Amino acid sequence: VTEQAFEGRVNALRGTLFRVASAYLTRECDRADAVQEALLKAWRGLNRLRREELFKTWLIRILIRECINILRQNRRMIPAESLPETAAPQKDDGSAALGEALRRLPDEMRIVVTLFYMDGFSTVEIARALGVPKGTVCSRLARARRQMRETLGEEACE
Amino acid sequence: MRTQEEWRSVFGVPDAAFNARIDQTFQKIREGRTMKRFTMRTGLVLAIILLLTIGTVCAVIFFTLLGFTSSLVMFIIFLLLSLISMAIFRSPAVALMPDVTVKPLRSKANAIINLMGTIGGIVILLFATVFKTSEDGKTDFGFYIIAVCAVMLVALSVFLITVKEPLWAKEMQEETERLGCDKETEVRESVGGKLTKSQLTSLILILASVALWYIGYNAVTSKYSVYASNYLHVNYATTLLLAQAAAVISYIPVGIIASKLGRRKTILAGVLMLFGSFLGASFITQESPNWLMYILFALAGIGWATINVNSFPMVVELAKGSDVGKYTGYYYTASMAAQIVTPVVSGALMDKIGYQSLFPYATVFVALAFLTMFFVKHGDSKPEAKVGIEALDIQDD
Repeated sequence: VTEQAFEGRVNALRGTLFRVASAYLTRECDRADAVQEALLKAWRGLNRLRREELFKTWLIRILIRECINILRQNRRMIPAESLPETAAPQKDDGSAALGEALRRLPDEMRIVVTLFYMDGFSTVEIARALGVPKGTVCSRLARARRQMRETLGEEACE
Repeated sequence: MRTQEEWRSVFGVPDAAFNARIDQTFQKIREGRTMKRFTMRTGLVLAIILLLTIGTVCAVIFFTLLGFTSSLVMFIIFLLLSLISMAIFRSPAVALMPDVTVKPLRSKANAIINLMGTIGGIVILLFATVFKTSEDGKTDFGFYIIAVCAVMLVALSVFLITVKEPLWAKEMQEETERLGCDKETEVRESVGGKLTKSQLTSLILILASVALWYIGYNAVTSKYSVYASNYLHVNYATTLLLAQAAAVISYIPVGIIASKLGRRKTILAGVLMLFGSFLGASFITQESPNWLMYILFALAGIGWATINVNSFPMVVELAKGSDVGKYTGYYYTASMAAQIVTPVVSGALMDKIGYQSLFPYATVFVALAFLTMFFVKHGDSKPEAKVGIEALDIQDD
Protein backbone atom coordinates (compact mmCIF):
# COMPACT_ATOMS: atom_id res chain seq x y z
CA VAL A 1 0.00 0.00 0.00
CA THR A 2 1.42 3.36 -0.99
CA GLU A 3 1.38 6.46 1.20
CA GLN A 4 -1.25 7.98 -1.10
CA ALA A 5 -3.51 4.93 -0.87
CA PHE A 6 -3.16 4.90 2.90
CA GLU A 7 -3.99 8.59 3.08
CA GLY A 8 -7.02 8.07 0.83
CA ARG A 9 -8.41 5.34 3.03
CA VAL A 10 -7.80 7.27 6.22
CA ASN A 11 -9.34 10.42 4.80
CA ALA A 12 -12.50 8.49 4.00
CA LEU A 13 -12.62 7.43 7.65
CA ARG A 14 -11.87 10.79 9.29
CA GLY A 15 -15.39 11.14 10.66
CA THR A 16 -15.48 7.61 12.00
CA LEU A 17 -12.06 7.98 13.62
CA PHE A 18 -13.18 11.20 15.25
CA ARG A 19 -16.35 9.67 16.62
CA VAL A 20 -14.58 6.59 17.95
CA ALA A 21 -12.00 8.79 19.69
CA SER A 22 -14.81 11.02 20.99
CA ALA A 23 -16.63 8.01 22.38
CA TYR A 24 -13.69 7.42 24.70
CA LEU A 25 -11.93 10.73 25.12
CA THR A 26 -13.32 14.13 25.92
CA ARG A 27 -10.25 16.30 25.48
CA GLU A 28 -9.37 17.51 22.00
CA CYS A 29 -5.66 16.94 22.55
CA ASP A 30 -6.22 13.36 23.70
CA ARG A 31 -8.32 12.55 20.65
CA ALA A 32 -5.66 14.00 18.39
CA ASP A 33 -2.91 12.08 20.21
CA ALA A 34 -4.85 8.83 19.99
CA VAL A 35 -5.54 9.14 16.29
CA GLN A 36 -1.96 10.12 15.52
CA GLU A 37 -0.52 7.18 17.41
CA ALA A 38 -3.08 4.83 15.86
CA LEU A 39 -2.29 6.02 12.34
CA LEU A 40 1.45 5.67 12.88
CA LYS A 41 0.99 2.17 14.25
CA ALA A 42 -1.30 1.24 11.40
CA TRP A 43 1.19 2.55 8.83
CA ARG A 44 4.06 0.62 10.38
CA GLY A 45 1.99 -2.52 10.73
CA LEU A 46 0.33 -2.45 7.31
CA ASN A 47 2.27 -5.51 6.18
CA ARG A 48 0.57 -7.50 8.96
CA LEU A 49 -2.89 -6.75 7.56
CA ARG A 50 -3.72 -9.87 5.57
CA ARG A 51 -7.12 -8.87 4.15
CA GLU A 52 -7.45 -5.43 2.63
CA GLU A 53 -11.22 -5.36 3.16
CA LEU A 54 -10.68 -5.47 6.91
CA PHE A 55 -8.68 -2.22 6.92
CA LYS A 56 -11.53 -0.22 8.45
CA THR A 57 -12.18 -2.50 11.43
CA TRP A 58 -8.45 -3.11 11.87
CA LEU A 59 -7.74 0.62 12.09
CA ILE A 60 -10.66 1.19 14.45
CA ARG A 61 -9.34 -1.58 16.66
CA ILE A 62 -5.93 0.06 16.84
CA LEU A 63 -7.53 3.40 17.63
CA ILE A 64 -9.67 1.93 20.39
CA ARG A 65 -6.55 0.42 21.94
CA GLU A 66 -4.83 3.81 21.83
CA CYS A 67 -7.85 5.53 23.36
CA ILE A 68 -7.90 3.02 26.20
CA ASN A 69 -4.15 3.55 26.74
CA ILE A 70 -4.68 7.29 27.00
CA LEU A 71 -7.62 6.79 29.36
CA ARG A 72 -5.43 4.63 31.59
CA GLN A 73 -2.65 7.20 31.56
CA ASN A 74 -5.09 9.99 32.35
CA ARG A 75 -6.58 8.05 35.22
CA ARG A 76 -3.11 7.65 36.64
CA MET A 77 -2.08 11.22 36.07
CA ILE A 78 -5.12 13.48 36.52
CA PRO A 79 -7.17 13.67 39.72
CA ALA A 80 -10.86 13.07 39.01
CA GLU A 81 -11.94 16.55 40.16
CA SER A 82 -9.72 18.23 37.60
CA LEU A 83 -11.05 16.28 34.61
CA PRO A 84 -11.78 18.72 31.82
CA GLU A 85 -15.12 19.58 30.40
CA THR A 86 -16.92 17.29 27.99
CA ALA A 87 -17.20 18.23 24.34
CA ALA A 88 -20.07 20.58 23.63
CA PRO A 89 -22.71 19.35 21.23
CA GLN A 90 -23.05 21.23 17.98
CA LYS A 91 -26.75 22.05 18.17
CA ASP A 92 -29.31 22.01 20.92
CA ASP A 93 -31.99 20.16 18.96
CA GLY A 94 -32.27 17.18 21.28
CA SER A 95 -28.77 16.01 20.58
CA ALA A 96 -27.66 17.42 23.94
CA ALA A 97 -29.91 14.98 25.79
CA LEU A 98 -28.86 12.18 23.49
CA GLY A 99 -25.22 13.09 24.03
CA GLU A 100 -25.67 13.14 27.80
CA ALA A 101 -27.36 9.74 27.71
CA LEU A 102 -24.55 8.41 25.57
CA ARG A 103 -21.89 9.80 27.88
CA ARG A 104 -23.54 8.13 30.86
CA LEU A 105 -23.00 4.75 29.25
CA PRO A 106 -19.97 2.69 30.24
CA ASP A 107 -17.12 2.87 27.69
CA GLU A 108 -17.72 -0.60 26.27
CA MET A 109 -21.38 0.21 25.54
CA ARG A 110 -20.73 3.72 24.25
CA ILE A 111 -18.35 2.52 21.57
CA VAL A 112 -20.85 -0.10 20.39
CA VAL A 113 -23.61 2.50 20.09
CA THR A 114 -21.26 4.94 18.36
CA LEU A 115 -20.15 2.46 15.73
CA PHE A 116 -23.63 1.00 15.22
CA TYR A 117 -25.78 4.12 15.08
CA MET A 118 -23.34 6.79 13.96
CA ASP A 119 -21.19 4.91 11.50
CA GLY A 120 -23.48 2.12 10.40
CA PHE A 121 -21.16 -0.71 11.38
CA SER A 122 -22.76 -4.14 11.43
CA THR A 123 -22.61 -6.15 14.65
CA VAL A 124 -20.09 -8.46 12.95
CA GLU A 125 -17.84 -5.52 12.09
CA ILE A 126 -18.12 -4.13 15.60
CA ALA A 127 -17.28 -7.56 17.02
CA ARG A 128 -14.21 -7.67 14.79
CA ALA A 129 -13.13 -4.15 15.74
CA LEU A 130 -13.55 -4.79 19.45
CA GLY A 131 -12.22 -8.32 19.37
CA VAL A 132 -15.30 -9.73 21.14
CA PRO A 133 -17.97 -12.24 20.04
CA LYS A 134 -20.95 -10.99 18.04
CA GLY A 135 -23.30 -12.05 20.85
CA THR A 136 -21.47 -9.74 23.25
CA VAL A 137 -21.93 -6.84 20.84
CA CYS A 138 -25.66 -7.58 20.57
CA SER A 139 -26.13 -7.80 24.32
CA ARG A 140 -24.15 -4.59 24.91
CA LEU A 141 -26.23 -2.87 22.29
CA ALA A 142 -29.47 -4.06 23.89
CA ARG A 143 -28.34 -2.99 27.37
CA ALA A 144 -27.16 0.36 26.03
CA ARG A 145 -30.52 0.97 24.35
CA ARG A 146 -32.35 0.12 27.56
CA GLN A 147 -30.12 2.35 29.65
CA MET A 148 -30.37 5.24 27.24
CA ARG A 149 -34.10 4.89 27.03
CA GLU A 150 -34.26 5.09 30.82
CA THR A 151 -31.98 8.13 30.90
CA LEU A 152 -33.86 9.94 28.18
CA GLY A 153 -37.18 8.99 29.76
CA GLU A 154 -36.05 10.35 33.12
CA GLU A 155 -34.90 13.57 31.57
CA ALA A 156 -38.11 13.89 29.61
CA CYS A 157 -40.03 13.68 32.91
CA GLU A 158 -37.93 16.36 34.60
CA MET B 1 -36.40 6.51 15.37
CA ARG B 2 -33.39 8.77 15.08
CA THR B 3 -31.49 9.18 11.86
CA GLN B 4 -27.76 8.60 11.53
CA GLU B 5 -27.26 12.36 11.18
CA GLU B 6 -29.04 12.98 14.48
CA TRP B 7 -26.81 10.44 16.16
CA ARG B 8 -23.71 11.95 14.57
CA SER B 9 -24.60 15.43 15.77
CA VAL B 10 -23.80 14.26 19.32
CA PHE B 11 -20.08 14.38 18.69
CA GLY B 12 -20.18 16.92 15.90
CA VAL B 13 -17.64 16.92 13.09
CA PRO B 14 -13.88 16.38 13.35
CA ASP B 15 -12.44 19.48 14.99
CA ALA B 16 -9.55 21.50 13.58
CA ALA B 17 -7.01 20.05 16.02
CA PHE B 18 -8.03 16.54 15.08
CA ASN B 19 -7.78 17.17 11.34
CA ALA B 20 -4.51 19.02 11.74
CA ARG B 21 -3.02 16.07 13.61
CA ILE B 22 -4.07 13.63 10.89
CA ASP B 23 -2.46 15.85 8.25
CA GLN B 24 0.64 16.15 10.39
CA THR B 25 0.75 12.36 10.69
CA PHE B 26 0.54 11.99 6.90
CA GLN B 27 3.41 14.44 6.64
CA LYS B 28 5.48 12.38 9.07
CA ILE B 29 4.72 9.21 7.12
CA ARG B 30 5.69 10.87 3.84
CA GLU B 31 8.97 12.04 5.32
CA GLY B 32 9.63 8.67 6.90
CA ARG B 33 9.84 10.23 10.36
CA THR B 34 7.72 7.65 12.12
CA MET B 35 9.43 7.12 15.45
CA LYS B 36 9.19 3.64 16.81
CA ARG B 37 10.69 1.82 19.72
CA PHE B 38 12.73 -0.38 17.46
CA THR B 39 14.11 1.29 14.37
CA MET B 40 15.11 -0.60 11.26
CA ARG B 41 18.62 -1.18 12.47
CA THR B 42 17.46 -2.33 15.90
CA GLY B 43 15.06 -4.66 14.14
CA LEU B 44 17.94 -5.92 12.10
CA VAL B 45 20.04 -6.39 15.21
CA LEU B 46 17.22 -8.30 16.87
CA ALA B 47 16.68 -10.54 13.88
CA ILE B 48 20.36 -11.16 13.62
CA ILE B 49 20.81 -11.73 17.33
CA LEU B 50 18.09 -14.36 17.15
CA LEU B 51 19.94 -15.97 14.29
CA LEU B 52 23.07 -15.47 16.30
CA THR B 53 22.07 -18.06 18.85
CA ILE B 54 22.29 -20.58 16.04
CA GLY B 55 25.24 -18.65 14.56
CA THR B 56 27.11 -18.82 17.86
CA VAL B 57 26.79 -22.56 17.99
CA CYS B 58 28.07 -22.65 14.39
CA ALA B 59 30.95 -20.32 15.29
CA VAL B 60 31.95 -22.50 18.23
CA ILE B 61 31.73 -25.62 16.10
CA PHE B 62 33.79 -24.04 13.31
CA PHE B 63 36.38 -22.79 15.76
CA THR B 64 36.56 -26.28 17.18
CA LEU B 65 36.93 -27.80 13.76
CA LEU B 66 39.76 -25.35 13.06
CA GLY B 67 41.77 -27.10 15.72
CA PHE B 68 41.31 -30.52 14.18
CA THR B 69 41.65 -29.92 10.47
CA SER B 70 44.88 -30.64 8.68
CA SER B 71 43.70 -29.43 5.28
CA LEU B 72 44.53 -25.84 4.32
CA VAL B 73 41.33 -25.47 2.28
CA MET B 74 39.15 -26.70 5.13
CA PHE B 75 41.03 -24.46 7.53
CA ILE B 76 40.27 -21.42 5.37
CA ILE B 77 36.63 -22.43 5.00
CA PHE B 78 36.14 -22.95 8.75
CA LEU B 79 37.93 -19.71 9.54
CA LEU B 80 35.75 -17.86 7.05
CA LEU B 81 32.56 -19.38 8.46
CA SER B 82 33.60 -18.58 12.03
CA LEU B 83 34.32 -14.98 11.17
CA ILE B 84 31.08 -14.63 9.19
CA SER B 85 29.11 -15.98 12.17
CA MET B 86 30.73 -13.36 14.37
CA ALA B 87 30.33 -10.54 11.87
CA ILE B 88 26.62 -11.23 11.41
CA PHE B 89 25.79 -9.88 14.84
CA ARG B 90 28.76 -7.73 15.65
CA SER B 91 28.51 -5.11 12.88
CA PRO B 92 24.88 -4.06 13.44
CA ALA B 93 25.25 -4.21 17.21
CA VAL B 94 28.32 -1.99 17.13
CA ALA B 95 26.62 0.33 14.63
CA LEU B 96 24.08 1.19 17.33
CA MET B 97 26.74 3.03 19.31
CA PRO B 98 27.20 6.02 16.96
CA ASP B 99 23.41 6.25 16.69
CA VAL B 100 23.06 7.03 20.37
CA THR B 101 26.38 8.69 21.22
CA VAL B 102 27.36 12.29 20.54
CA LYS B 103 30.41 12.51 18.31
CA PRO B 104 32.96 13.76 20.88
CA LEU B 105 32.17 10.82 23.16
CA ARG B 106 32.39 8.07 20.56
CA SER B 107 36.00 7.17 21.29
CA LYS B 108 35.13 6.69 24.95
CA ALA B 109 32.05 4.69 24.00
CA ASN B 110 34.09 2.55 21.65
CA ALA B 111 36.56 2.02 24.49
CA ILE B 112 33.73 0.53 26.52
CA ILE B 113 32.71 -1.68 23.58
CA ASN B 114 36.27 -2.95 23.29
CA LEU B 115 36.48 -3.46 27.02
CA MET B 116 33.27 -5.48 26.98
CA GLY B 117 34.62 -7.48 24.04
CA THR B 118 37.74 -8.27 25.99
CA ILE B 119 35.69 -9.24 29.05
CA GLY B 120 33.71 -11.52 26.73
CA GLY B 121 37.00 -13.05 25.60
CA ILE B 122 38.01 -13.63 29.21
CA VAL B 123 34.65 -15.29 29.94
CA ILE B 124 35.25 -17.63 27.01
CA LEU B 125 38.73 -18.44 28.34
CA LEU B 126 37.17 -19.18 31.72
CA PHE B 127 34.62 -21.47 30.09
CA ALA B 128 37.43 -23.28 28.32
CA THR B 129 39.13 -23.79 31.68
CA VAL B 130 35.95 -24.82 33.49
CA PHE B 131 34.92 -27.31 30.83
CA LYS B 132 38.37 -28.81 30.46
CA THR B 133 37.52 -32.35 31.33
CA SER B 134 40.51 -34.48 30.64
CA GLU B 135 44.19 -34.52 31.46
CA ASP B 136 45.24 -33.75 27.91
CA GLY B 137 43.34 -30.46 28.14
CA LYS B 138 40.47 -31.35 25.82
CA THR B 139 37.29 -29.44 26.35
CA ASP B 140 33.78 -30.79 26.84
CA PHE B 141 32.24 -28.93 23.92
CA GLY B 142 28.67 -29.96 24.70
CA PHE B 143 28.56 -27.96 27.94
CA TYR B 144 30.83 -25.33 26.44
CA ILE B 145 28.38 -24.61 23.60
CA ILE B 146 25.43 -24.60 26.00
CA ALA B 147 27.24 -22.14 28.27
CA VAL B 148 28.10 -19.85 25.36
CA CYS B 149 24.51 -19.96 24.09
CA ALA B 150 23.25 -19.16 27.60
CA VAL B 151 25.49 -16.11 27.75
CA MET B 152 24.22 -15.02 24.34
CA LEU B 153 20.60 -15.36 25.45
CA VAL B 154 21.29 -13.32 28.58
CA ALA B 155 22.95 -10.67 26.41
CA LEU B 156 19.93 -10.69 24.10
CA SER B 157 17.55 -10.27 27.05
CA VAL B 158 19.59 -7.40 28.47
CA PHE B 159 19.57 -5.81 25.01
CA LEU B 160 15.81 -6.16 24.63
CA ILE B 161 15.04 -4.84 28.09
CA THR B 162 17.46 -1.96 28.28
CA VAL B 163 18.09 -0.63 24.77
CA LYS B 164 15.63 2.07 23.75
CA GLU B 165 17.32 3.17 20.58
CA PRO B 166 14.85 5.79 19.25
CA LEU B 167 14.66 7.49 22.64
CA TRP B 168 18.43 7.52 23.07
CA ALA B 169 18.94 8.60 19.47
CA LYS B 170 16.53 11.49 20.03
CA GLU B 171 18.35 12.49 23.20
CA MET B 172 21.63 12.28 21.30
CA GLN B 173 20.32 14.60 18.58
CA GLU B 174 19.08 17.08 21.16
CA GLU B 175 22.41 16.93 22.96
CA THR B 176 24.28 17.32 19.66
CA GLU B 177 22.29 20.44 18.87
CA ARG B 178 22.73 21.78 22.41
CA LEU B 179 26.49 21.28 22.33
CA GLY B 180 26.80 22.40 18.73
CA CYS B 181 28.75 19.21 17.91
CA ASP B 182 27.08 19.02 14.54
CA LYS B 183 28.91 22.14 13.40
CA GLU B 184 32.17 20.24 13.41
CA THR B 185 30.96 17.16 11.64
CA GLU B 186 32.55 15.92 8.48
CA VAL B 187 29.18 15.61 6.83
CA ARG B 188 28.83 19.36 6.65
CA GLU B 189 31.78 19.48 4.34
CA SER B 190 30.41 16.89 1.99
CA VAL B 191 28.59 17.74 -1.19
CA GLY B 192 24.99 16.62 -1.51
CA GLY B 193 25.41 14.03 1.24
CA LYS B 194 28.26 12.33 -0.63
CA LEU B 195 31.84 12.29 0.51
CA THR B 196 34.16 14.80 -1.05
CA LYS B 197 37.20 13.46 -2.89
CA SER B 198 39.39 14.28 0.08
CA GLN B 199 37.01 12.56 2.52
CA LEU B 200 36.83 9.50 0.28
CA THR B 201 40.62 9.32 0.16
CA SER B 202 40.73 9.54 3.95
CA LEU B 203 38.12 6.80 4.28
CA ILE B 204 40.11 4.50 1.99
CA LEU B 205 43.31 5.29 3.89
CA ILE B 206 41.67 4.60 7.26
CA LEU B 207 40.27 1.30 5.99
CA ALA B 208 43.67 0.40 4.54
CA SER B 209 45.26 1.21 7.90
CA VAL B 210 42.69 -0.96 9.68
CA ALA B 211 43.45 -3.87 7.37
CA LEU B 212 47.23 -3.37 7.68
CA TRP B 213 47.43 -3.21 11.47
CA TYR B 214 45.08 -6.16 11.76
CA ILE B 215 47.36 -8.10 9.41
CA GLY B 216 50.32 -7.29 11.66
CA TYR B 217 48.68 -7.73 15.07
CA ASN B 218 46.57 -10.76 14.25
CA ALA B 219 49.57 -12.58 12.77
CA VAL B 220 51.35 -12.24 16.09
CA THR B 221 48.39 -13.18 18.30
CA SER B 222 47.42 -16.16 16.17
CA LYS B 223 50.93 -17.49 15.67
CA TYR B 224 52.72 -16.51 18.85
CA SER B 225 51.86 -19.77 20.62
CA VAL B 226 53.59 -21.72 17.83
CA TYR B 227 56.44 -19.22 17.71
CA ALA B 228 57.03 -19.28 21.48
CA SER B 229 56.82 -23.06 21.74
CA ASN B 230 58.96 -23.93 18.71
CA TYR B 231 61.36 -21.01 18.33
CA LEU B 232 61.80 -19.39 21.73
CA HIS B 233 60.94 -22.55 23.69
CA VAL B 234 59.11 -20.56 26.34
CA ASN B 235 55.57 -20.50 27.67
CA TYR B 236 53.34 -18.26 25.59
CA ALA B 237 50.20 -17.96 27.74
CA THR B 238 51.57 -15.37 30.19
CA THR B 239 52.89 -13.16 27.39
CA LEU B 240 49.57 -13.12 25.50
CA LEU B 241 47.67 -12.59 28.72
CA LEU B 242 49.90 -9.62 29.53
CA ALA B 243 49.13 -8.02 26.19
CA GLN B 244 45.43 -8.51 26.83
CA ALA B 245 45.63 -7.20 30.38
CA ALA B 246 47.55 -4.12 29.22
CA ALA B 247 44.88 -3.52 26.56
CA VAL B 248 42.06 -3.86 29.11
CA ILE B 249 43.69 -1.35 31.45
CA SER B 250 44.31 1.09 28.59
CA TYR B 251 40.93 1.15 26.85
CA ILE B 252 39.26 3.80 29.02
CA PRO B 253 42.29 6.11 29.50
CA VAL B 254 43.02 5.90 25.78
CA GLY B 255 39.44 6.93 24.98
CA ILE B 256 39.83 9.94 27.26
CA ILE B 257 43.23 10.86 25.79
CA ALA B 258 41.83 10.62 22.25
CA SER B 259 39.02 13.06 23.03
CA LYS B 260 41.67 15.55 24.21
CA LEU B 261 44.38 14.99 21.60
CA GLY B 262 42.35 13.91 18.61
CA ARG B 263 41.90 10.43 17.24
CA ARG B 264 44.47 10.53 14.45
CA LYS B 265 47.37 11.59 16.66
CA THR B 266 46.41 9.03 19.30
CA ILE B 267 46.22 6.28 16.71
CA LEU B 268 49.60 7.25 15.24
CA ALA B 269 51.09 7.04 18.73
CA GLY B 270 49.49 3.60 19.16
CA VAL B 271 50.82 2.40 15.83
CA LEU B 272 54.30 3.57 16.81
CA MET B 273 54.05 1.61 20.07
CA LEU B 274 52.94 -1.48 18.18
CA PHE B 275 55.70 -0.98 15.62
CA GLY B 276 58.32 -0.54 18.35
CA SER B 277 57.25 -3.60 20.28
CA PHE B 278 57.11 -5.86 17.19
CA LEU B 279 60.44 -4.52 15.95
CA GLY B 280 61.96 -5.17 19.36
CA ALA B 281 60.43 -8.65 19.49
CA SER B 282 62.07 -9.45 16.13
CA PHE B 283 65.43 -9.41 17.95
CA ILE B 284 64.38 -11.53 20.93
CA THR B 285 66.05 -14.90 21.01
CA GLN B 286 66.07 -17.88 23.33
CA GLU B 287 68.82 -16.25 25.34
CA SER B 288 66.88 -13.04 25.94
CA PRO B 289 65.33 -12.63 29.38
CA ASN B 290 61.60 -13.39 29.60
CA TRP B 291 60.68 -10.01 31.09
CA LEU B 292 61.84 -8.30 27.92
CA MET B 293 59.15 -10.02 25.90
CA TYR B 294 56.62 -9.29 28.65
CA ILE B 295 57.37 -5.57 28.42
CA LEU B 296 57.18 -5.62 24.63
CA PHE B 297 53.85 -7.42 24.66
CA ALA B 298 52.43 -5.11 27.32
CA LEU B 299 53.48 -2.20 25.09
CA ALA B 300 51.86 -3.91 22.10
CA GLY B 301 48.66 -4.35 24.14
CA ILE B 302 48.55 -0.65 25.00
CA GLY B 303 49.30 0.28 21.39
CA TRP B 304 46.58 -2.05 20.17
CA ALA B 305 44.03 -0.60 22.58
CA THR B 306 44.98 2.90 21.42
CA ILE B 307 44.44 1.96 17.79
CA ASN B 308 41.33 -0.11 18.28
CA VAL B 309 39.40 2.36 20.41
CA ASN B 310 39.81 5.18 17.91
CA SER B 311 39.72 3.59 14.49
CA PHE B 312 36.03 2.66 14.39
CA PRO B 313 34.86 6.14 15.50
CA MET B 314 37.06 7.63 12.76
CA VAL B 315 35.29 5.57 10.13
CA VAL B 316 31.78 6.41 11.36
CA GLU B 317 32.72 10.07 11.80
CA LEU B 318 32.71 10.21 8.00
CA ALA B 319 29.26 8.67 7.79
CA LYS B 320 26.04 10.62 7.88
CA GLY B 321 23.36 9.28 10.26
CA SER B 322 21.67 6.86 7.91
CA ASP B 323 25.01 5.47 6.64
CA VAL B 324 26.46 4.42 9.98
CA GLY B 325 25.53 0.79 9.42
CA LYS B 326 27.15 0.79 5.99
CA TYR B 327 30.36 2.35 7.27
CA THR B 328 30.44 -0.09 10.16
CA GLY B 329 30.26 -2.77 7.51
CA TYR B 330 33.24 -1.24 5.69
CA TYR B 331 35.21 -1.24 8.93
CA TYR B 332 34.49 -4.87 9.66
CA THR B 333 35.11 -5.91 6.06
CA ALA B 334 38.60 -4.42 6.30
CA SER B 335 39.38 -5.93 9.70
CA MET B 336 37.85 -9.32 8.98
CA ALA B 337 39.47 -9.63 5.57
CA ALA B 338 42.81 -9.01 7.25
CA GLN B 339 42.06 -11.62 9.90
CA ILE B 340 41.19 -14.16 7.24
CA VAL B 341 44.30 -13.53 5.17
CA THR B 342 46.98 -13.01 7.78
CA PRO B 343 47.01 -16.34 9.63
CA VAL B 344 47.37 -18.10 6.30
CA VAL B 345 50.06 -15.79 4.89
CA SER B 346 52.08 -15.55 8.11
CA GLY B 347 51.78 -19.32 8.59
CA ALA B 348 53.00 -19.95 5.05
CA LEU B 349 55.94 -17.58 5.59
CA MET B 350 56.86 -19.32 8.82
CA ASP B 351 56.84 -22.64 6.95
CA LYS B 352 58.89 -21.38 4.01
CA ILE B 353 61.33 -18.95 5.64
CA GLY B 354 61.27 -19.95 9.26
CA TYR B 355 59.69 -18.95 12.56
CA GLN B 356 61.84 -15.83 12.78
CA SER B 357 59.82 -14.27 9.93
CA LEU B 358 56.79 -13.66 12.20
CA PHE B 359 57.74 -10.40 13.91
CA PRO B 360 59.43 -8.77 10.88
CA TYR B 361 56.26 -9.61 8.90
CA ALA B 362 54.09 -7.95 11.55
CA THR B 363 56.50 -4.99 11.83
CA VAL B 364 56.35 -4.29 8.09
CA PHE B 365 52.54 -4.22 8.00
CA VAL B 366 52.30 -2.05 11.10
CA ALA B 367 54.81 0.36 9.52
CA LEU B 368 52.67 0.48 6.39
CA ALA B 369 49.64 1.20 8.58
CA PHE B 370 51.51 4.16 10.06
CA LEU B 371 52.14 5.50 6.58
CA THR B 372 48.52 5.19 5.44
CA MET B 373 47.25 6.67 8.69
CA PHE B 374 49.69 9.55 8.46
CA PHE B 375 47.99 10.85 5.31
CA VAL B 376 44.47 10.72 6.72
CA LYS B 377 42.92 14.17 6.85
CA HIS B 378 39.34 13.53 7.99
CA GLY B 379 37.47 11.59 10.61
CA ASP B 380 39.08 13.18 13.61
CA SER B 381 37.11 14.19 16.69
CA LYS B 382 39.10 17.35 17.17
CA PRO B 383 36.82 20.29 16.43
CA GLU B 384 37.81 22.91 13.94
CA ALA B 385 38.72 26.32 15.29
CA LYS B 386 35.71 28.50 15.75
CA VAL B 387 35.68 32.02 14.48
CA GLY B 388 34.13 35.23 15.74
CA ILE B 389 31.92 35.18 18.78
CA GLU B 390 31.57 31.39 18.65
CA ALA B 391 35.25 31.18 19.58
CA LEU B 392 34.22 32.34 23.05
CA ASP B 393 32.01 29.27 23.56
CA ILE B 394 33.13 26.77 26.11
CA GLN B 395 33.97 23.58 24.25
CA ASP B 396 32.60 20.52 25.97
CA ASP B 397 35.16 17.80 26.21
